[in-house]
Amino acid sequence: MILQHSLALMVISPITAALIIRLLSKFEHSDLVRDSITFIGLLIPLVLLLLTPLDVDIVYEMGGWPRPFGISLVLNGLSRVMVLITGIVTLSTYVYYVDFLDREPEADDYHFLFLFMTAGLYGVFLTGDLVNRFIFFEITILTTYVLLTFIGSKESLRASFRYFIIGAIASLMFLIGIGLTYFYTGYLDVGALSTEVPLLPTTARNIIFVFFLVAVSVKLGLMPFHTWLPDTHVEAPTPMTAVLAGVTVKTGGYILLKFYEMGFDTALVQNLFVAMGVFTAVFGAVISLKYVNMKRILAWLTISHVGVIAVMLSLWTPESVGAGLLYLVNHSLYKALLFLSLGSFVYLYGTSDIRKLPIFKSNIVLSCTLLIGLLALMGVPPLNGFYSRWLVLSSVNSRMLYLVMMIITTITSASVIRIILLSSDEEKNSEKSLNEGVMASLVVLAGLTSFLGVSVSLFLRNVIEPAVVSIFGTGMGIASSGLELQGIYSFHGMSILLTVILGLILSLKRIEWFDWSEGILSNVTIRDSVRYIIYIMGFFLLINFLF
Amino acid sequence: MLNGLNVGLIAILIGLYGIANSKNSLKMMMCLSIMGTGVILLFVSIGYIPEGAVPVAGGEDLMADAIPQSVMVTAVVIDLATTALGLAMVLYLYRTFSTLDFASTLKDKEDER
Repeated sequence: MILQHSLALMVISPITAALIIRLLSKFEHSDLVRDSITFIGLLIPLVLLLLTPLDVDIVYEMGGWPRPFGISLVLNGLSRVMVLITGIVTLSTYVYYVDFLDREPEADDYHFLFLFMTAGLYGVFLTGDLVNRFIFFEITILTTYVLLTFIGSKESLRASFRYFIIGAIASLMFLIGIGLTYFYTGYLDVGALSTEVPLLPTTARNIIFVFFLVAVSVKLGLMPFHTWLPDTHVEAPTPMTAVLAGVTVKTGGYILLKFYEMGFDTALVQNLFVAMGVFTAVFGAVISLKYVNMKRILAWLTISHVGVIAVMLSLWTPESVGAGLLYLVNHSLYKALLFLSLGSFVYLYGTSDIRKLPIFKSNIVLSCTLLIGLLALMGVPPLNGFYSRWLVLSSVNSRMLYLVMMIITTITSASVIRIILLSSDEEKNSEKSLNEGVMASLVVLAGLTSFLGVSVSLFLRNVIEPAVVSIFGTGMGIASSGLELQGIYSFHGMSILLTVILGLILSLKRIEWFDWSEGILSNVTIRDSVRYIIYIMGFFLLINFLF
Repeated sequence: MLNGLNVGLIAILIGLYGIANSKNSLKMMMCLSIMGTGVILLFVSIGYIPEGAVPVAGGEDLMADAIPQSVMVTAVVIDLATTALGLAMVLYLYRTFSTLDFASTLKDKEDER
């Protein structure tokens, strides 16, 4: 009975918990009550997801109106993947932060907004029509702006306002795109659109996609649109950084995938995204080499990884999309882990400068989790980062792209090894200590990061494969067992090990790291970002009409 | 031709130009509102049918398309929330930096990288 309505409950339960907390904050209440209500509200969607059978697609029609006309929620292979990472990341970041929150005077507001943001994320991934995707998208993004400023530093306000302006433009572009889609086809439902949109002429599809392009790229943080990402990641409170890098950025990838599935997969769009993705991936990794603030380094590496994800999704073959999805899931897990453990270091020692962080001389659990995250980021074999890289290398279709991916992984590992080499050796004592919630969430995330590495075949077979089947109708065609060992002793595995060694050599040569990139890409004003948006749209339209 | 579609597009472009070329964060918010209004006008015009009646169930044969209108009711609400949040942010920006010039607040950055 409950399972029948599980999709609606996934979205409703965080909203209900949020409203209860808002009501509760008018009265005297203990922190425990509020925290447990929030915890239950975040836990219910995950439990419902695990209760639904893995191989069944569920379509829930809200209010009983049939599909092309009514509002529907869809749980298929693809949205199951996204809902899974949303559940894991939001729950673990909440558990991580709950003890810090109890000391803040505005903790009620944080709970309220965090729950609404979670509901918005579930909505974006589950909904079956474009307008509701836009609405949930807005719920997520509006609450995110406020949550980013929760600590209340000057810089966080500035970063949030910049994100606000760029994000608002992107949302309006998304809305225009929806309007044009409706104008050309007369439908808003994704299922109906995926039969109607491919019938349109290519030029019309390209013109509609100009507007979606801005929305998707701003959400993803692809290179000319990335300007909001580093500052927000650095200035936001720790759990919000983890959610931003782990899930919110990934909504862009999911929406891109949905647009391709809907029939906007024209050659022009795909080539543009591959080009932007390669550019983003290379330069994001290069720029990360010049900073000493570890949060900023990780934020630029997020941009780089997002570029790789965009490339893999845009190649649009079953293998590459599967690789992109695995990359997306793994990146969510280890980036959330890295940001949370880094946040604990910042809490203990009051700095995120890598030259002052005693990475090996701290609390043993904390050191281990941070190191697991870093090794996964680098792509060291038994961890999950290795296997997502392996799949990426095995599914790119040209030698040029293979080489580019090798270069990206080399620079990324150089950046990670640089963090380890520069870290402080001094033993520092901190009077603060970490509580059980922090430890629990770190250990769970580190465990998942390792688990998805050592049992990658299981995950590929049961979660990624159905997602690919739900998009293409055919599977990835990769041997579904024994990848764990065969992967390491294969050609691609050796390539990845080679990149790690090259990265070590590159980071041992202490060149002054790429100061020239400063003015061009890493310090951009709102005015410049709007200009970039207009240039890219104009460029796209020009190419569309010329050829 | 001066119909809703064109006017909406012009308003959107004016808004984009204004955001790109104004230093004042309050002006940015105004331009964002202009842009939002343009989108709403554009969207409603898509559903417009010449000489169509008001879309009420059981009405005449030729009716305006109701779906863009109902979508726009939602979009207006979201626009309201966006504007309110943006103005609140501008207020706090002014209180912290004592200036509305957003670009000038960016200059004293890059402290520790």
